[in-house]
Amino acid sequence: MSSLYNENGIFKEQKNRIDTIAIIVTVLLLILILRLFYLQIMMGGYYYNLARDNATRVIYLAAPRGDILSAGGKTFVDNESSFNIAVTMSRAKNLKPELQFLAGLMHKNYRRFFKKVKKEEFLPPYEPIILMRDISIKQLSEFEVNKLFLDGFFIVKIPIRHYPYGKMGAQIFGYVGPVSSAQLKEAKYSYLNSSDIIGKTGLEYYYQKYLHGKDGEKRIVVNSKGESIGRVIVKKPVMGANLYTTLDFSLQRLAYKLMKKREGAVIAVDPENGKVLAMVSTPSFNPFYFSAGISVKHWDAIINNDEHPLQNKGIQNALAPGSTFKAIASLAALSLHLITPRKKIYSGPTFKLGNAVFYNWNPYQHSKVNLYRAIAESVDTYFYSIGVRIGIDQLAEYAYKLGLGEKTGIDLPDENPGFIPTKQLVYDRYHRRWYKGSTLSAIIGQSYDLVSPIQLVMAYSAIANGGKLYRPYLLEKIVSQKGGILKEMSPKLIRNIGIKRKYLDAVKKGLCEVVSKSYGTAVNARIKGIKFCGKTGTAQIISKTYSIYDIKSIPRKYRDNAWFVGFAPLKNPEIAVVVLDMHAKFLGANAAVIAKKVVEKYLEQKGMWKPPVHKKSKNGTLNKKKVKSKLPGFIYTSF
Amino acid sequence: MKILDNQYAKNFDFIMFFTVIIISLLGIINLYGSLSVHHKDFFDPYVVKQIIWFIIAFFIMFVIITIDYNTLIEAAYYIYGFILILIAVVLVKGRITHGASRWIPLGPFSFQPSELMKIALIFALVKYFTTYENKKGYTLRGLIIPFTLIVMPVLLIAKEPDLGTSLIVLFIGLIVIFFAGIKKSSMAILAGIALVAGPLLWFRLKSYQKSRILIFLHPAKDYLGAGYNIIQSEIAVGAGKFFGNGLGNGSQSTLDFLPAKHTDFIFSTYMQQFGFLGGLVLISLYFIVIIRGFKIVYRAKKLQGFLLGGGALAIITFHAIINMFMTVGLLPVVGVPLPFFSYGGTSLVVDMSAVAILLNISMRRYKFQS
Repeated sequence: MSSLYNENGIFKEQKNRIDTIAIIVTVLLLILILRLFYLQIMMGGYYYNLARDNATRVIYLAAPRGDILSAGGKTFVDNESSFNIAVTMSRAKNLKPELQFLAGLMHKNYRRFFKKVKKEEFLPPYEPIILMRDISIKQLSEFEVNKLFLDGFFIVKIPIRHYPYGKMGAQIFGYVGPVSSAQLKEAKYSYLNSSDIIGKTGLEYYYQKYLHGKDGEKRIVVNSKGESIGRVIVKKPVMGANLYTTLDFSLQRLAYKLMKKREGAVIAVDPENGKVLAMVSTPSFNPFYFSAGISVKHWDAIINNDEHPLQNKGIQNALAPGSTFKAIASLAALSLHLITPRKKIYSGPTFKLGNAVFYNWNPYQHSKVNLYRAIAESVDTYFYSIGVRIGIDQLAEYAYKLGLGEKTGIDLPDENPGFIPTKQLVYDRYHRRWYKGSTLSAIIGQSYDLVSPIQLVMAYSAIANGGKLYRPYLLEKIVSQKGGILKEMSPKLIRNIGIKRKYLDAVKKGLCEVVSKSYGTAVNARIKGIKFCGKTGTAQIISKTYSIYDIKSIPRKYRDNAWFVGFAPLKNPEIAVVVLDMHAKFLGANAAVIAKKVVEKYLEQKGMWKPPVHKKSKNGTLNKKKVKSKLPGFIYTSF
Repeated sequence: MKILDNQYAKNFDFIMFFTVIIISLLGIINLYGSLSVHHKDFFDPYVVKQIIWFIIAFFIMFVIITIDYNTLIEAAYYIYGFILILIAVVLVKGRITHGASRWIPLGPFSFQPSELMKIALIFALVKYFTTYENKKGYTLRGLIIPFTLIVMPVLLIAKEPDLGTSLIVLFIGLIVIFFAGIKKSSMAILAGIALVAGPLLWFRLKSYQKSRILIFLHPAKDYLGAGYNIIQSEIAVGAGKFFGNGLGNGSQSTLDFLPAKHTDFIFSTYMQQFGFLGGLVLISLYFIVIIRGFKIVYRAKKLQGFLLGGGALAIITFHAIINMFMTVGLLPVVGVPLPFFSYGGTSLVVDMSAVAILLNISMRRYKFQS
């Protein structure tokens, strides 16, 4: 610049200082331009998004979850619109008198409304606060009539889970609830936002991803005070996919009806592929209470119930199988050539091993019996005599072959693997040595044996179908709202159990005699015209210090658990059923009657059986005459 | 006597004048675009008031142009004294009412005497240096009176408290001293004093003033607190990208995320609406004004014109650079307006007066030769 303007004026010295300052100013302006280049060109996108996020607030619109249906398309779980009264603070002009007015209209306490509003004070003013959930139609009409006087108040429709059959199968379908903050951090729940409802247990949990659907969005432009400027962009929510289960609707209903007043579980499966036809666990709970966040009152009632309504006893509960284990023991003994089906073995009322005495359940037992009769009559002493000759590890090997002591892999969460003892496992788990006497207990399904109903029914299915152990499954298919099949389940063979056909047939014959012979323990479960085979069982709750007790005099929770597991028909089996009747009054024989009714119903539906016109028992009680002739009034160890 | 004879008209710097007009018009448009969504109306009080202020500022500008700056220099001490008293009055009044002590109300308007001090100080200093001319450069002893002239208003304004304005007044004073000439040894001593005084001053700062400086160093540390302003400003600037979001679409200002969007952060508002391209245009306009100012100062034939022009130019340059640097996060947040652009009357009058002084000097540069 000095060259341009260098005139020979006065104060040349001072004027040269201007050059310095002009250069500094130019450099500063260049720095400014560089900074703008950085902010606007290099980081422009980043800041643009920040500015947009500053000014938009997103309200998520919950997508309805997919329905859960039976194989035939009957709805087990769907959604209903709940009507909720909400208020937007930024629109309510005279909040206090309006709240008072509303409280009067709804016959509610004004203070509770006011507290609710106060509690949500930190929320931005455009976000609706829900004052009353799930109001009745009458309340809705009251509100609509007086809408003019309620500025800023409005009705929000929110989809909530609806259970047309209430408690039935609640543990299988599971319940839903608000997502927890811990779950939100998990990678598999990355698609959720904090206001979402998710499946917490059962199928709702297992197939959460499919059932969930896509949440909608309401975008609101707000100013720095959070006040809505009114521009709203809506993305509609998309309902989740429908889940078709393998469950047979009427079978499921019947099973629940039969078990309603008892504690236990019923599972019916198709033995040829592992499809679960019915699964109930009782007592049950009403999953509806969980949908909108469970109240303390309801939660306490469920959690303090010592019959554990939340537990799916079919898969999460492993207990002693009792005499139902004898079928597995028989297969082991046959395969190891310890017995032959026809060879009779003397079986008395007691069996001595060293100084210990082991009792038969029936103290009048005094004959030589073969395998068929030993199974049919559940002769404990017959199996004790095998027990002294079989090693516990050999026995366990056959139990494992039939899938006991491992998870079946059913598509439900938290399955219990059960426990089948070997010397090593017992040492690892209980730090106890194995005694020969324990093998005698184990062979009749006591001592350390723990089996879940689903394991048992799958093991018997394998016996029934000629040796194929299937994975049980509940999912038929998942169908999107547009009709596309998202997922389809097919039968999965876990393994061939590798036991010779003739041994399976021998055990099957014994199992059929349990029902068909007059001395069978489940004679009351006979189905006219159908070969129904199975095994009763009674599992002890307390270890016996005494051998005889009167069942009616002991407290309910110390009463034995009754089992029945069976299949029908003998050839080409269509259905396998397990019934667990916990702390039962009438033990295995009654469980067998429940199983019988389930089987009858299923075969009737299939057109394979017709109910006889006369004397059809209606309420699931026993045919007492027959039972009395065979069952003593007091019970020994196990049958 | 003709108010403007041909000679004057010939030497009038039209480029500078019209550039200032363009910036001012752009400022009005920008102000309109920055209004909150609720009151988007061209006859919004903000816009109307600012237009009225422009009319007043132009009037004052023409008054200053018509008066010979030498006449003004003669009256310098009186003007200086008058404004100093106004500052003191504002300060005392603020102390009594416990209110803000920067403003003097004037009907629907109000003005800040501390802003006017910038102009008054220049005149006072020029008067002193032309009275006691020293071509070899001033020693510290010769600078006692100029320093007193500077320090009195600086302290009073700092007490208001308005640290930003007081620092600018200080810098403007120092620039005039620098132009007047100062011995190199004296300059070294002054630099030494500044180095010692700086840390001492830190402890005298109010907590909000300290936090502004700390926040400048780490804006993210206090996102919703003191760092909020600068972060929102950077978001506004960055969001403009290359072409800008368009007039009235600067969400940061229309939705009130940007604090002081009409005044201190008007540049951020502009940048979001008009982007990098608009930024280049505006910066170029300021550059034209500043370069024309340098030319006028350079061509001044007398010491009076040279010093006065230098001071006036310093006001505009300081305001422009400090304000823009502050909004993009290159300087701590100080309350400095953007010349001809920020909403607010007093600063507009001051900046226009500075332009008027420069134009005055450019017109009369041959006066003493003819």
